[in-house]
Amino acid sequence: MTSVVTREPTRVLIVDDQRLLADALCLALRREGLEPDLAPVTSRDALVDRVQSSSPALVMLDLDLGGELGDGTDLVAPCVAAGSRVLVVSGVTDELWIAAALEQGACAAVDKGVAFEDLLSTVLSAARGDTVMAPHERQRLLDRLRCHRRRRRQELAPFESLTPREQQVLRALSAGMTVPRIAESWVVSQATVRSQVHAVLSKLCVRSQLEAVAAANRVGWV
Amino acid sequence: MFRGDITGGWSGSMVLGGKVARPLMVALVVTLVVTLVGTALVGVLGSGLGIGGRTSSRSMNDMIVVSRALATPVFVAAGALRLSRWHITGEPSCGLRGIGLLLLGGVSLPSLTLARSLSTSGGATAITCVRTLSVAAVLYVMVVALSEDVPHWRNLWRRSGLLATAAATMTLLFLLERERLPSGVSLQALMVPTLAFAWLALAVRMVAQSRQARWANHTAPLLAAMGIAELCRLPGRPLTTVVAASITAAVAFIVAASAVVDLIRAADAERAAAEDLTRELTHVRTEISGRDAWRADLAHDARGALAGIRAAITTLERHPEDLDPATADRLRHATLAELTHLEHMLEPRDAGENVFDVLDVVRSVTDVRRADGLPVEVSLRSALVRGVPGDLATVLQNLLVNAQQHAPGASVRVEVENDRTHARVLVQDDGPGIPSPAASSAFGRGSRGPHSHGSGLGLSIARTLARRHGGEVDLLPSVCGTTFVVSWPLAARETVIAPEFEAAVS
Repeated sequence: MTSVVTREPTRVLIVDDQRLLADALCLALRREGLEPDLAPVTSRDALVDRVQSSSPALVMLDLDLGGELGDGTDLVAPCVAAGSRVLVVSGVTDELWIAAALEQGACAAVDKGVAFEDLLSTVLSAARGDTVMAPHERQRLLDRLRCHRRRRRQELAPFESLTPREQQVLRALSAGMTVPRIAESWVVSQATVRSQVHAVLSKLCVRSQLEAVAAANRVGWV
Repeated sequence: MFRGDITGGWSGSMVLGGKVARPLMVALVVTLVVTLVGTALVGVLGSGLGIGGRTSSRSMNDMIVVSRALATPVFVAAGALRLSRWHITGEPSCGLRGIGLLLLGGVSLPSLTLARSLSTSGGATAITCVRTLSVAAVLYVMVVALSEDVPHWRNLWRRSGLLATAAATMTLLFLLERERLPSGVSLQALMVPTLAFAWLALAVRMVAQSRQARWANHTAPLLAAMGIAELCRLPGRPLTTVVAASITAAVAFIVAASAVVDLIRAADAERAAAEDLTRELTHVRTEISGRDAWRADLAHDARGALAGIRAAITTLERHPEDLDPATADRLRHATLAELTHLEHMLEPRDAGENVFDVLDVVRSVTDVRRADGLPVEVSLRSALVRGVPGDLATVLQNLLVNAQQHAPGASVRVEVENDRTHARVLVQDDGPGIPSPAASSAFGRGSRGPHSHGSGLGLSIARTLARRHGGEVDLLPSVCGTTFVVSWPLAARETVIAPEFEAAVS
């Protein structure tokens, strides 16, 4: 353990589109004897390159990176593959989103909104390699994600059973198109479209197009 | 049975409209032609053959029974179609017409046919009574359907007391008269013109009423035809009775055909309405999800901004001695910028609209920016515009903050000019400018420049606000730097006062 003391400072990579927070964290971490670095949040490739070249001990990752990057969840796996621990530091309140990042291999998640001191101490213990998140809390989140996925699969099952053409029909109906218009734009007969609509209705177990569209909207299939 | 098929899903109306309607109409027309030609032939042949013969009168009688038997189910079917249309549209008059047709087909015609086949036995008079009463009921229902804009079932019920009294009186009259009169002939001779007159009177009333109820106009000729058929039914003349039966059959077929057409139309209208509803639902869903996304973005940005401000202030407070002055200054400025940004995000929109001077707004906004370290040069011209001053202030503030973030260190020049309808505020900076590929998407939500610290909402908010007041924010093509132009509708024309020039560099 003495090697820890003599080792060169722990490198921390901050991935956050909120520059002010990143700047402040950078200053504070440097003062704590770490070697923080601001990652470029312009493109995914640049970010992964930076992680691979500098191989930081800890990557502090924001999940909602905005702009072109958007969702940061799929950045977790490359960072873990490069040998870094990933600490999710995010303003995201959606537990499922955080759970997805944990599932990808993030070691813990901390809310941006906590007091700065707490945020800092969490980052420091994560950088030291301590367990930051209680195992039962982590398990709870992962269970919730699994449960959510199972429910989602059940909800989407009827929609998955549609043939590609039937899915197109349902999408067109959801876009507000009528059967004659669909037939016209696809250059097929109205009877063809109507029989596809029929198939959609019976597969979704609904009685009208309105109900089908409402179901697709409710489940978020569209 | 119809409801499930027709209104349960569009599939029902689709089948009815596409597959069933045409064959049904063809079958109706063919049966009508066959019946009319058949009865006419029988009439002609019967009159030719049976001048003195009893057998021909008997066969003519059979033909009358047959044509009535044909008309009966058609009337019943028309009644059922009308009732199913009533199920779809919920028009009470339609329901009443359905009841009328069911009565006509279900009671009056069969009872007459029965009377004819039993004419030798004693039951004939009673059956004639039933028939007369049911026709009277049909007439009554028709009157009710016609007399009120929105006929009410309760009224029908209330008036049925009247109907029952009339029926009882009439039955009593028949039974009493029967003793006195030599045969049922004079009874019929009394009733037939009465009913015929009632049919014709109803037809006339329908014509008079046709302005209120459009369907009345179509029904009037049919009612008149029923009246004529009734008149033809004078006793002891089999030939005219054949004509009466064929007229009745023709009326039955026409009524059924129009019921089919109406039903298809109603089903189509229902389907169109449902499709409209689907479109509307989709539209509303899209709008709501768009608004949700916008709100989620805003909440996320606000949380991020707060975390940033908290972190910066904590750092500034905790380690003032460790920070070099330039870094501390940078943190302070960034915090201020973030606060302004947060303020814009939460800008209330409830301020009232009024006429104000662009000059005042520009001056107050540029003063604030100058205090925050942005070098702004201003060329001012007074122009009275219409709108919410706070909104114009937000627009300008966003553009200036954008310049500050996008072109750090650049100086900014604000100019006011105007055309005939709009005041134009130009915000120019001499920074690096926006590269042309990014220029087209600069106003998109979430679009940011390479040095931007913001959420990418500033320009989008500015444009939305300006458009809300009938104005616009545009990026002008320029050789160097960036030039935004805000146009804002003038309160009235010719409000421009002599320009005053004011320059200030912080």
